[in-house]
Amino acid sequence: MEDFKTELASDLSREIARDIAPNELKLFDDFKEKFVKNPEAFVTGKGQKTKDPMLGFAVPGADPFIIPTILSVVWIAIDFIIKTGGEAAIKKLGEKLAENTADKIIKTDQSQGKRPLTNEQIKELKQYAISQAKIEKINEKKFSLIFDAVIGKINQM
Amino acid sequence: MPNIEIRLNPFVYISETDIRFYLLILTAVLLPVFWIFFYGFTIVTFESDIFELESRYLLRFFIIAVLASVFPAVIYWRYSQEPKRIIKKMQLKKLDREKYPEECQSIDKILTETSVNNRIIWMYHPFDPSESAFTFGTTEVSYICLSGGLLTRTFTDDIESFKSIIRHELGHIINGDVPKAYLAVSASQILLTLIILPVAMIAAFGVLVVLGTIHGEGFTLLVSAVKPSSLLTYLNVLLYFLIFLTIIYLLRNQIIRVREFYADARVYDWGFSDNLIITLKKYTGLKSQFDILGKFHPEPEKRIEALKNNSGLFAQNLLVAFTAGFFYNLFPFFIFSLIIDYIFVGFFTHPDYGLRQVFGLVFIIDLISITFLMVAISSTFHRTLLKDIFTNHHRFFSLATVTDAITFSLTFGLGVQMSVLLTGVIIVLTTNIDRMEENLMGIFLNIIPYATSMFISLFFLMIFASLSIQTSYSKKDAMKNFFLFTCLSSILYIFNDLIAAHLFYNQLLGVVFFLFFSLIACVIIMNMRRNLHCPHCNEKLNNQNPLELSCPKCKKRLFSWAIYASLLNSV
Repeated sequence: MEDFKTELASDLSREIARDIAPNELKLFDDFKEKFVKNPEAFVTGKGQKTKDPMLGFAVPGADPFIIPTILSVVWIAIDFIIKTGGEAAIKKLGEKLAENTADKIIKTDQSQGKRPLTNEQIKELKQYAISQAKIEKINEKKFSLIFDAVIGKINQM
Repeated sequence: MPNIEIRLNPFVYISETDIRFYLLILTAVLLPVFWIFFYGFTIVTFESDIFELESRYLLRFFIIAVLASVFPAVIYWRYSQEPKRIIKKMQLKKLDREKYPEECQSIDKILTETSVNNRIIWMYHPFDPSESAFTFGTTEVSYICLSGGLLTRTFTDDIESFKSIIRHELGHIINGDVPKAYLAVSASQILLTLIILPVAMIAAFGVLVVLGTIHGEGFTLLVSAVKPSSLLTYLNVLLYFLIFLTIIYLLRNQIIRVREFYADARVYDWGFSDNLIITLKKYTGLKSQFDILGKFHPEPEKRIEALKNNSGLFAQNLLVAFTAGFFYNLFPFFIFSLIIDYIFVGFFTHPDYGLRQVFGLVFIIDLISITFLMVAISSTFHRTLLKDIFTNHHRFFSLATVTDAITFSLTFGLGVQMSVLLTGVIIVLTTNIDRMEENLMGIFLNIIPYATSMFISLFFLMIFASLSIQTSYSKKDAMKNFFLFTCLSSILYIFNDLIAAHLFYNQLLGVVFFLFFSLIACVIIMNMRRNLHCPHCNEKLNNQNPLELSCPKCKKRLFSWAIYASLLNSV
């Protein structure tokens, strides 16, 4: 289950990154590699500190990458869904994602009329995710944007 | 008179920053050899009457010889391993041509434009979001690491900045900054590691004292065997290490900051300064998050200013004066202490001996030290003279340069005395603390004789260097003249410092030496001018105003090798 969870989080994150951070997409595999090794320890912002390197160009300050935040939020969301009894929904989401990735088209599944997350669950998830985001020091504005994208993508499937 | 656009060439002569890099590395090599194995190891092992006197000296000499060769080897080994360490620590990845084809194509184009043929391995740091890059490596191979931000966002959104940043990094490689900077890092790292030795000595001493208190006589005897005074020595060693580590750290950062201007100047040479200025402008006004003492880069505003007008690179740097003065005292101190004082039983500090008895040796060691340091000083002054003559149109040099020479000389004297103070404090602390006060006063009064000797040498250098650089049309001539007048200035300094100031206590003698050396230099300059040849057609040139010289045969205008000059209108 753990491997499946990690793989799902990676694939879903890639889809979201394709939409909201296309210019970072080439780095996705590098982040994924780090994430897969230990998802729990994958803390957003870690290793992103800008230093003044010796014999470098030195540009002070930089916006952090979005991909690690996406991976973290997706991981939190999947974790939450599983903890709240949504294991089946997650498995279905994985299958859907595999199909969609194969087709390269993301389709909205209206046939069953049931989304993986209800409005109530989304509220709960947001509360939970915010508390996790604080622990992991994720930028609040970026977090909200990414959270909405993640939920949108999950429910879209 | 045609309209001539003149720009000073910042890559002339020997770089003063190179000399300071070497000083830094030398210090890191000499310091541990000097302290740890004399005050630490040898006192404990060989001062206790285990060996015969002669055997003790031989052992000391053997240890010094072995260690003096081991330290450079260890530093070099660490330096050669540095790229591997950086790649592992920062989790850098090799830039894959298949994954980043467009980026690699762009890099190839830059390499063609700049004609850089060095062996470069391109890496990237996927987790660094900044728009930056840095260079590292060894003499054999250089690595350029692009940040993830540069490789993705900047390449997509601002390709010109991407190119400018890469050109700046190539500038570091072409300027030879990589091996020197990383050797300096390696040297300071080794020194930092070695600090554990005095700390361990102090700790061991502390343990013995505690054990002695608990267990009584046996341990107390052991404590007395290692001599209680050694504890003070170990503390001094620690203090020395800390002070030198700070000096090395600050000096290294300051030198590397200066090298950034030169990397930008190289981009100017390649004809891409406008693009670099645009890139740097993106970052102006941003509050730097880096602490000034710890940071390696000057503010973007200063870099833009230097790109627009590089005369700032030709200004006096008082840190050069201070560093030169500091090491002028320090190296002979190290060498004397190592060779004479500690190997040959306090020969130099013995009351029956002194400067007069070992004058020949002092002369040679000081001359070698000052000639080495004078290269950096001379380079600084040659550049100032270039600015005076070719930018500010003075016949020889400006009054401002004379004022600079006075300030420079005083700072040099201050550097010497700070070093005396540092070495003296340690000695006084170990011998007699009451002597500190009287020594302090003497130390500050002694700035004047050193400054006077230096000023006389600088004045000599300024006169004859300004005459020679105007007619040095080729690199060969320029370098020959540079070394000639640098060596003469060094010898003049030694005559003034050792003979006039310290042997005969008469600084007026310095004026006599100055006149004598000037006479020699005049003969050299006259001879040089008689044998001037056009660098283009080798035609012999007659005595003309060197600043308005053109070849009578090929009619080409002649410019000093040390400047870039282009005619806006033809002659």
